Amino acid sequence: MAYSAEISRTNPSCFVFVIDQSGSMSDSFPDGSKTKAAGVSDAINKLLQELVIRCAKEEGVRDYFHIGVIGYGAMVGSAFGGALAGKKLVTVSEIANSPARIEERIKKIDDGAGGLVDQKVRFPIWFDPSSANGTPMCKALDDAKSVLQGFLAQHPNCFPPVVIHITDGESTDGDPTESMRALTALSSNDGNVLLFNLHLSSNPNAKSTAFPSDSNSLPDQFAQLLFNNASQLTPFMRSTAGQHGFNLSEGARCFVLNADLVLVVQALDIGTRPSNLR
Amino acid sequence: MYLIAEPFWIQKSGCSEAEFEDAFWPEKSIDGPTERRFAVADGATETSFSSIWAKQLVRCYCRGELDQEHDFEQTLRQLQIKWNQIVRRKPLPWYAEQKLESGTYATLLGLTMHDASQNSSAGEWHAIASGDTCLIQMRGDRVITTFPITSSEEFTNQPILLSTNLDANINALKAMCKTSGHWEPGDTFYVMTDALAAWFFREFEVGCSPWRILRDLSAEPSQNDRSDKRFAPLRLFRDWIHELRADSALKNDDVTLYRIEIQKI
Repeated sequence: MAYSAEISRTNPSCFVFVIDQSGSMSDSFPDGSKTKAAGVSDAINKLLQELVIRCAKEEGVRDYFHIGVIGYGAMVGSAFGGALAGKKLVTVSEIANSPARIEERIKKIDDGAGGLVDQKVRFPIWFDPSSANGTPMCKALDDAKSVLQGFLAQHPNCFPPVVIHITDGESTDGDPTESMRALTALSSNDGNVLLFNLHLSSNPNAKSTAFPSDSNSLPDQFAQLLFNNASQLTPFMRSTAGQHGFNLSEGARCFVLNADLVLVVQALDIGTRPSNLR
Repeated sequence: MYLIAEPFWIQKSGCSEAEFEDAFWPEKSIDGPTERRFAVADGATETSFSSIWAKQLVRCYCRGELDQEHDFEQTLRQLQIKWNQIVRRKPLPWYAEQKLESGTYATLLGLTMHDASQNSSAGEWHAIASGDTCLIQMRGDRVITTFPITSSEEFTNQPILLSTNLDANINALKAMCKTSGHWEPGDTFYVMTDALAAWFFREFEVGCSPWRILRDLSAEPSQNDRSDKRFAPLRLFRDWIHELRADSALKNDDVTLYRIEIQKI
């Protein structure tokens, strides 16, 4: 059965985040709280932190995953900062030991008497927001493909890598259909690479669509393209989606349209929650 | 009552022995005429320092501090304080500190065998359970008791476990199960962690007799084989578990089996 391989230190899996860093990412999310670039940066940093904590054991961090973050905008390439800058794929333990910096942020916590109090928390940063120039989506997806070809050659029996592509606009370096197809044609012995297409919106009136199983309600060709090339959610991903309140049928796609930040965070969790860590 | 009791264990495939997160007590085999307590715990894989918590729980049960006469909550609170002291002895990196905030979890199955009453060759036993570690009582080829799980369908990845987090234990204590029964000479009790217990139930449900394999794990070797370590019971158990894993008949998880036989005298 596909998508059932155990994830272990000897048989790790892989996540690659492909992040749009074009000029339009400097627009704010519909609620006006953050720019899309800053919101996505926070969500990815938080996710990297959670992955590190998930893999942490008493003796250190177990390398259950290799992780890449590829940005595209003014340039295409590794979007890690600090000691990991320029590296296309790193292990979770490298991430754990090499944040670019650790910021102090304020988190609201329950004061035990029905109210909230501020608590300082440490927030490691590996990836900073950036937004400039065009949208060289094809080049970024081709980069992700080459990173995954190398990973799959070394780990042919792995749980299939998951690529999470986050964008707010159309490609400026050609039709990305072939690049997306080439990516999802890659496979391990446990199944094909899974591609998530997360589309962001800054329009407060835009209707969001989450994990549809058909494209009937999609508004335009660009949305169709992202839908058509997104993978189907695995049964475990559908069950994780259920915990977020989504009632999805078989055939639901790894695709969201006009997402706000809450939906982005939910989709990241659905795409990266491991089912079989050992 | 004359008991012969023997623990068998193996870590997950791909892990070292030091990474084994189940715990059992007593740690050594028993062969003697005595009342006894036995306990097996399964530390949660996705947390850290769960093996320490599992060891604390089994030792505490076998000291008699986790039974009806004691205040469970109070005992657990003391264990939680101790666990925190142990895990914070050394400075921890940022991720280990953050992981500790959610605490750790473990199952617990405790079994107390009481001696026979004066006028009878049979006696009583009591057991407690939190989570999916199981107790099976066999009389010959009859299954007398399965506790707290009764079928393979009941195994899930998220049982309610005993935690080092005080709030989480409110539900765990409510969900804790207790039972008791009678033993007769010749009965055998098996305590097993979830992967092996799930295999046991699946086999039983399709008409097989899985207890026969567990019973024969330390069959007396032939005279010629006695000095050969390949025939040691623990070695046989581990080889058998490797085979089950290779056939995908057993989840790759830490496995503990405690076999307790009451001898006919």
